[in-house]
Amino acid sequence: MKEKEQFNVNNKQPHRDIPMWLLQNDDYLPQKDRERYLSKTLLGILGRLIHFRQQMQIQTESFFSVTFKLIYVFLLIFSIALAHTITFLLLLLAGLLAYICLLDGRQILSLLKPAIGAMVFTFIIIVPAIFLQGTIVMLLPFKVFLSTLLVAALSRSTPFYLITKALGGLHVPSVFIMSLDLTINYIVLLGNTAIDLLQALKLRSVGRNTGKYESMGNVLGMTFLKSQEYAKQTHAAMLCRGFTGEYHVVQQHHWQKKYIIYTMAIMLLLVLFIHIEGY
Amino acid sequence: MHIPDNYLSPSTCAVFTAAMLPVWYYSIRKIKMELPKDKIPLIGVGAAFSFLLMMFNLPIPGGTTAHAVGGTLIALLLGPYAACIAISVALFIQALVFGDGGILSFAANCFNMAFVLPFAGYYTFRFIRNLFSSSAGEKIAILLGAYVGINMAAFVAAIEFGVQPLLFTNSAGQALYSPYPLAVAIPAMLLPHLLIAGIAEAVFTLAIYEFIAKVSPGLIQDNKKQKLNPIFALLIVLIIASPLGLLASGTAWGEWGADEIAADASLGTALGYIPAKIANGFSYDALLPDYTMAGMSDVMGYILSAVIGAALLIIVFKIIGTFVSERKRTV
Amino acid sequence: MMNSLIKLLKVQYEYEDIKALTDISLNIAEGEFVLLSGPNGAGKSTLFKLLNGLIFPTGGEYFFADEKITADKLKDIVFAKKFHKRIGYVFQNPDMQLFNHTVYDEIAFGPRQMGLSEIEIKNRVEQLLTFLDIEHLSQRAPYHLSGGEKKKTAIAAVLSLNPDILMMDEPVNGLDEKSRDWIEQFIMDFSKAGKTLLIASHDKAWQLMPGVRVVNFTSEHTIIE
Ligand SMILES: Nc1ncnc2c1ncn2[C@@H]1O[C@H](COP(=O)(O)OP(=O)(O)O)[C@@H](O)[C@H]1O
Ligand SMILES: [Mg+2]
Repeated sequence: MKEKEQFNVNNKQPHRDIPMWLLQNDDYLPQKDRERYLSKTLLGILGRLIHFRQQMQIQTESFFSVTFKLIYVFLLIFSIALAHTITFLLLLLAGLLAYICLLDGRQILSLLKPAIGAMVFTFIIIVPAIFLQGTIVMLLPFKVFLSTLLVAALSRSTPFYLITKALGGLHVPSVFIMSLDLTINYIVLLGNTAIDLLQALKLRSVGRNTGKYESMGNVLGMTFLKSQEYAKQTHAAMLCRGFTGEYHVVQQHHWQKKYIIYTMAIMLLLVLFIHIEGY
Repeated sequence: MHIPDNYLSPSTCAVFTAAMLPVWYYSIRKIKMELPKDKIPLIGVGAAFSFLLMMFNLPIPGGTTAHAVGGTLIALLLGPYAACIAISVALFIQALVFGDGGILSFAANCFNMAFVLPFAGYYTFRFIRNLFSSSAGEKIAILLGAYVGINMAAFVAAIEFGVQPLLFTNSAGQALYSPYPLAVAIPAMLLPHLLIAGIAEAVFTLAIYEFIAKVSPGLIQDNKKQKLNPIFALLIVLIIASPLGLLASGTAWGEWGADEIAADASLGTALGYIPAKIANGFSYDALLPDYTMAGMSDVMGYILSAVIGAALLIIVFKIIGTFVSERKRTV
Repeated sequence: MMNSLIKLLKVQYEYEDIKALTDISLNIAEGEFVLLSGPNGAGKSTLFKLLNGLIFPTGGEYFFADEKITADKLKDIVFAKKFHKRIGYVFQNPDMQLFNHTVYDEIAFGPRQMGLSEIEIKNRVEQLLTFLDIEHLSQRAPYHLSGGEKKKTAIAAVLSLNPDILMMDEPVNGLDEKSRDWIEQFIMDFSKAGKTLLIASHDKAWQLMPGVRVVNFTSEHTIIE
């Protein structure tokens, strides 16, 4: 048999000799080193990016249609931005907390982390303003917290492709949707690439790394190069399969009973807002 | 029974903090070792119950109020150690967000309501149930356990109040902190609890325990069905009913604001002065003081406070649950 | 019988709800050449991740050199580093494994961390460059290399740690004839020299290599020998 012969050692180009040290076992004892730069900082951040990937698997059979959720979240964020008393915000907080306390612990964490992060970030930014304008600007971090929580909750409960579809249905310009779509695509690839490269770095970090920042920089640089390359390829593949940049959305607007409830939910929000804010 | 700041001297508070640290440490260890991981989020549900029960102020003749705590209930469902942590966290959120109970006196409040109460209640229950092992015996054990638990807690709180004027006075003999001696504090604290709050605690405990035993036996015994929906429904009922707690318009004994204490007549005549440290001691502005929200009716404010408090507690323990179970999974 | 290096006892793993490994029990002794053969999606890559301590069994146990591998144990940094040093893992996709600016740095990355002297490091790197026929690439950026060159660089980068066991996931996937032959020959030489090898491949022809022990991965995510 031909294949059998293929594995005759002498058939092939002659190999160089294996280096001697490879034939002995090292007796190696690693030194202690700080490892947080690998596991805590970047892996953590990227883990969150990867969340987008998990999203694809979420099954949603919700009473509320994606379009409704999108409009509602938009309205809520709009009213949060307009609110100038804490009362309305507290009302929303109560509602949101009641919603997320029904989720399981890990999902709760994945919502709260970005929201708290955004809040702390805003707080740090406005600290100087507190001295100048008093406590009224303190509402801002709270507003940011609520808005981020809302968006996080929406993105968690709704796969991204459904959101783009709903946006298409709402006649949002397709250029906007496409860049959103590509960005998300890019982020997914970015996350996956980074995780893989970090694992490679981790597996070969077997001692004291004197150039931690350099290694980190290399991984990041490589991540961007790679994911950009892949994102471009994805886009090219879309074009090759006849994608013209239009997001066609076939929608049928049958009258459904649940639209009454949708309308009531929106009215309730508006009435509460106008009543509390005293317009 | 929530002792505000400045009613106990800072040294008293320090003593109770020192006493609670090992209790918390040991409770957490016990929970980690003995409570099944999937029950940790239930501590949050227990804490939410306790939080809501404490919002139901009951009017007491004489113008004060008192409330149930639900500590024995949680101890029966999840064990006294879990009850200790559940109530401690509930008290923490009450102090921090709603200004109910002081920041400095937090550990003292935990000692009374999160340590004395569930342990006294739980072991009284165990003792009595071992004497009469019939089903009626169990009911009586639950009622008595809850009753003894809350009254023990009130008694200990009264002692904490009562020793203040003995230890801390100014040169004119006026109290610096809580002004009432043991002879006044003990009956003032105990009578409302013996007569009203204790009975409420006992009835609530038995009623909720039996409700849970019926709808979700898995919470009480292992390998039975554990259904959370009816429990959440019960929580919602409590939340909607919580404004009933507003009907009791007085202030609980020992929870006065600085403006109220001078007129208080627990000594027979009005006190006539504001103890120095209560007038200008440590002060903390809670986010939602006394479960009210500016620009909203008291009833709405109370309901929203109930929602926020209960949801926060459930969320906190669900998050803690993820850390614990993650560790389990990776070992 | 040589010392057992890897021992899996009824190992299971699921991604969220998707089963990837079911009931895997496997022993690999020092000096063995094991070929994991099986269709795509059988769980070969997942097994490699598990063996490298990147993921942990959701059921069963994994021992490396008689030491049980758990997430807690790998939190001990000294233990983790020693563990990673003893396993050389060549990824299925070398793109994801190379992150340095030059091939030389790529190979020197491990030895530098181990605290070898610069002379020793230079020695190791140069010998590996020769051994793998990539001397001429020494100063090139791995990013711009061809697939076969990348693969060789990845192998060299892993070998420079002098691991106790070399693992390769689909080492010839997507390579041209010449590179394939080269890798096949390398594997056989390496095994003949007494090194321990675990290779995944769905290429049936490889099951005929001399000295190979074939372990079949089924599409039910378990193994039969
Ligand atoms: N990150 C992941 N998330 C979810 N499922 C995965 C992931 N990686 C692999 N799988 C699934 O696990 C199974 C085994 O995959 P893999 O180990 O890559 O197989 P092989 O390497 O043998 O082709 C497949 O069904 C695959 O779809
Ligand atoms: Mg694979």
